Amino acid sequence: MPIKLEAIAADPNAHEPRGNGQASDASRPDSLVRMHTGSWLCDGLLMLVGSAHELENGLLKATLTLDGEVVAARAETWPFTSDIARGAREAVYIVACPEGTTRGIALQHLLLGEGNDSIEYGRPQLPNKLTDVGRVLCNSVASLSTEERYRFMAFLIAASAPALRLERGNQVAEALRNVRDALRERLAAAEESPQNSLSGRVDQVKAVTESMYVLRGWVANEAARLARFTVVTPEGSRIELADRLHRYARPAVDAVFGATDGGGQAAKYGVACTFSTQIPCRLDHGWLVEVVDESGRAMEIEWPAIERDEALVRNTLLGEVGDECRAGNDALISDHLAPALMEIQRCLDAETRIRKVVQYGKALERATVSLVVPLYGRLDFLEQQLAQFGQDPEIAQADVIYVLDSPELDKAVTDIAAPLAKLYGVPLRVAFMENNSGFARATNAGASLATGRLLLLMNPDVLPDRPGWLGRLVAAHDGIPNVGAVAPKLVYEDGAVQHAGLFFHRQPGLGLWNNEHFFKGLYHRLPAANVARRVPAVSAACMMIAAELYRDMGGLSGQYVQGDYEDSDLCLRLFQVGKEVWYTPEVQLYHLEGQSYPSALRSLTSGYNQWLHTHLHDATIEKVMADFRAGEGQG
Amino acid sequence: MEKPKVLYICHNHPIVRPGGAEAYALELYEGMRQHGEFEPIFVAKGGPPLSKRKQPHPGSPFGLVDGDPNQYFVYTEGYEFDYLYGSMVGKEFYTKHFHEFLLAYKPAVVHFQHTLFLGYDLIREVRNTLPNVPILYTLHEYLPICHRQGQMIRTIGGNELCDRESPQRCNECFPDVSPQTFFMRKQFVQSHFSLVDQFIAPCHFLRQKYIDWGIPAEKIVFEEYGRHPVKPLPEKIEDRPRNRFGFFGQLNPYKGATVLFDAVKHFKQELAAKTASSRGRRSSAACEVPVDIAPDIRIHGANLDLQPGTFQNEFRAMLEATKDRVAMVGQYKHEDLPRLMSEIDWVIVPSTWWENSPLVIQEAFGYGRPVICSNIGGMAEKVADRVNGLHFRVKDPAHLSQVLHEAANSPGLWEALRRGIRPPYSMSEHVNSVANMYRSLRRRKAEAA
Repeated sequence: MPIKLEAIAADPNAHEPRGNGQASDASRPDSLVRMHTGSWLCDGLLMLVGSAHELENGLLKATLTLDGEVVAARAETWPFTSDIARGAREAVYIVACPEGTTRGIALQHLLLGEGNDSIEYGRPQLPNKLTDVGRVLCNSVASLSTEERYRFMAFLIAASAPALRLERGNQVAEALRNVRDALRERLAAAEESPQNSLSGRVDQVKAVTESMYVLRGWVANEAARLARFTVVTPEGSRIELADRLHRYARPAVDAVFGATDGGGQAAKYGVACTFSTQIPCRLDHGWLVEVVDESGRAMEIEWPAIERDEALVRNTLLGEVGDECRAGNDALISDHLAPALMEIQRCLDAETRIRKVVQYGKALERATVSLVVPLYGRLDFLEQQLAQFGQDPEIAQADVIYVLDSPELDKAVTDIAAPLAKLYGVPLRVAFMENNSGFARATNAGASLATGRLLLLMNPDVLPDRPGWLGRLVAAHDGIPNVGAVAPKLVYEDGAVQHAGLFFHRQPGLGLWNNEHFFKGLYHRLPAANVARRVPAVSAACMMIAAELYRDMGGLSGQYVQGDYEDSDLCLRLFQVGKEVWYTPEVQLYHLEGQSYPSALRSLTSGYNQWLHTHLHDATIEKVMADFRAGEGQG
Repeated sequence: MEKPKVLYICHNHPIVRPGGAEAYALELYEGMRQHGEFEPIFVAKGGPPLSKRKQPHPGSPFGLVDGDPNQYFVYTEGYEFDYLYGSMVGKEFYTKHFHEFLLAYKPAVVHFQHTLFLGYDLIREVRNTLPNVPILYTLHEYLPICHRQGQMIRTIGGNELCDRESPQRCNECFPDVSPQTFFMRKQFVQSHFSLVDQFIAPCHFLRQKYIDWGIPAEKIVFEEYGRHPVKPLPEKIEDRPRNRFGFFGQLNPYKGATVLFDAVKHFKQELAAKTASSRGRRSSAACEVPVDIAPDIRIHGANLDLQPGTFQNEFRAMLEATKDRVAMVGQYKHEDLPRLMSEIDWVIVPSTWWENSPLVIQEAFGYGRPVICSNIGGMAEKVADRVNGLHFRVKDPAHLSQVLHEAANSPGLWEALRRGIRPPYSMSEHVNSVANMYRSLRRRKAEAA
């Protein structure tokens, strides 16, 4: 809404500010175009209160002279009707100075806006001296209604947002917390007592990022339904969660408080919620939640310090997904836990970078196949694989790309790669990842370097035992008319089948889909395991796919934690676009599965990954399996 | 043309732990392969409790037995076995894993050797997945009838032999398990057994027990275990008494090793008493009284470590007390038998339960060793008293002591009994007979289908 100056009273003594804006109207008294008071909120962030202006932009250029120095800044305006000035239109101006500006003492000159659309304030229109924040608030917004004050807080946070992101952001946040504490309507502190008909506690808050949090606690609202459950950040952001809370049974709490809640339902006093803040919050203390029920009972709950350890937060969330999955609390997972884990995985995308690519041996002019092999944790497979590749003229014609996804092994790889490439006569490239980015991201990074028409995604523990396999795999791939992906037979060291294609099996009870291997553990010559056929999915331990198709599909999904289900996820997406996935037993390689993946971590991640896989592809899996059974004549 | 496959399912593999039923089962598997009409597949329970080995491949309960692509261990990690009902609690073990296995191999015949640790439900899974395949089940003891490890020995009345089950009687043995539960147990086992086409009983005594329990007589045939023929040890004319006795078998409380110890103790006391009285006489008359020849006993046994601690302690204490006459040789391999048998004259089978058809009897006879055994059940059936061996009253150490005395001190007796031994039923005859069963059952099923 455009700002209009109201209650214009004539004052013959008015000093005329120069400039071409509204304030330059000669008939206007200078009391209406001055800054009455001001204060530094913190270094670089100046708050002024004065008459409201009619400049066109909310965000203005501001040029100020501070202790004799001219500083270029930005100003934001928040107009309000002042009680103290008997209904006059006033405004709070937040002037954000560039980084490095400290609190000046004397504000000598201020120009808001630019060119024709500007107002200039000289010494007489500026406060004599800057005062403290409390006094400025008292003389301006403190007397406004609660709602108005909260609106002001929201404005203040938005105006401070760029400063909050700076290195001195914590100082800014502390300053905002002081403002919040001055303006906030306090409620009674929560007491955990069965005598109260409204009690509660926040047990734990985990930071997913600086602007996403997962809260757990309980609220015993015996008397009435919740009207408000408002998280107040230290900076004063208010986030209303009453409609979004997940309520769940907390037997220990439910037993102490009333057996039915204020809505007449069986008591489920547990509270869980994932929420986002409008700006990143770095303070761990000063968070609280205001709780009000429909009959007007109100309390505020202070929080324990926020848990910000990334690995701990992730692993705790993964564990919770596992528990809730078993308990069948799907809503809690889909609405609260999974969004948090998805955010964590999204953040990893931003951190994924190839630091450098090094060519060992002579670079190839042209290759049909690019092998992409991620290395993680163990390097002995590198030599084992190269020792086998070295016997094979087809590999010599292939584009061999290793992706080192263990930055701590950079030096070890640098030391051995050149001699290995030379000894085994295999030219290769190594892409060194900046961070450990996980199987999917590392593979995608490697694929982005590929020059071949075909990609062969390969695990380092997949070992051929004789040459000739790569050509046969290419022939198999190219012989399938509508090919999506094709994968060979993989065999354990004891001659048992490791991989002969994958299928999906719905777990009874939970309804989640398991990825199952055909004929796993059975002898590799079993006739049934030696039929080339279309299968629901294949393993990415060794999977051939056209490079262009792979890129069109967006590669492997980075949504899964630590490497699981990416292969079937890709196969299901291939199915959705009408491509076929095939198993071919004409090629047989060894796969020493699971040697480099700690099983404790796998058991932690598998619950979430499985949930996500089912959640993303439930209908597709049904269709794939129905098609497969029809094709196999098992109806 | 691919050979029809026979799937054998067993609760253990002899390379993990020795045991009569599993040793026989593997020999049958090997015999069937040599026979050539069928391609046999052997699946044995792997992993705990009998083996420390873990499931080798994540996501599959099957693991190859080293060196033979037709032999598998099946691991049951993640599944709980209910010993009372004899059934896996998690049914996906059957409906998922075994189902996939059966589809992968599509056996033409499934022959159960044991379902302990695996569950009777396997029978149903086979029937569901392969509706027209004959199912055979060889009965090696009384586990389907008796919750006390299939021994049919009561927990009350000093391990009294049990001749029949009933919910009330079983509840007397296991007061924590109600008669109703025992009733359900029997109904449950029989519901699975009703899907079996042919039961095989290696002894008439056991066959009758199962008929009494409720298996229709026409569904259960007698077929003795086959043994690979061995060369009988030469009957050397030796100028020495036949006083060397051997015990071969599991060192569990039901195999009667402790009866043997008690008999030795008894013998020693008798001998001491006699010696004392003969000394008394010697002072008056200076003639030599012939001294009785004492028995020398060698124990060849395994799996003492699997037994309850009290039994292990009792066993060791008795061994210590009789060590001048009893030598503990320990676990043996099958290929050691000729040597071990040559070091003894008699084989003792002092079991305190009914037994089925103890392989050790066939082995003893194979090597030309008369058998001294308890006078009950399968033992009494397989050993004819005073024809090819001697009976003693079950659980009676005094009587066994007398029999040992007689055996060691009766010149010519051993030779006479040795001449009464007939060669054991051979594995090739047995395999032929079993293959005939498979063939005719397949024909019958095909006609019915």
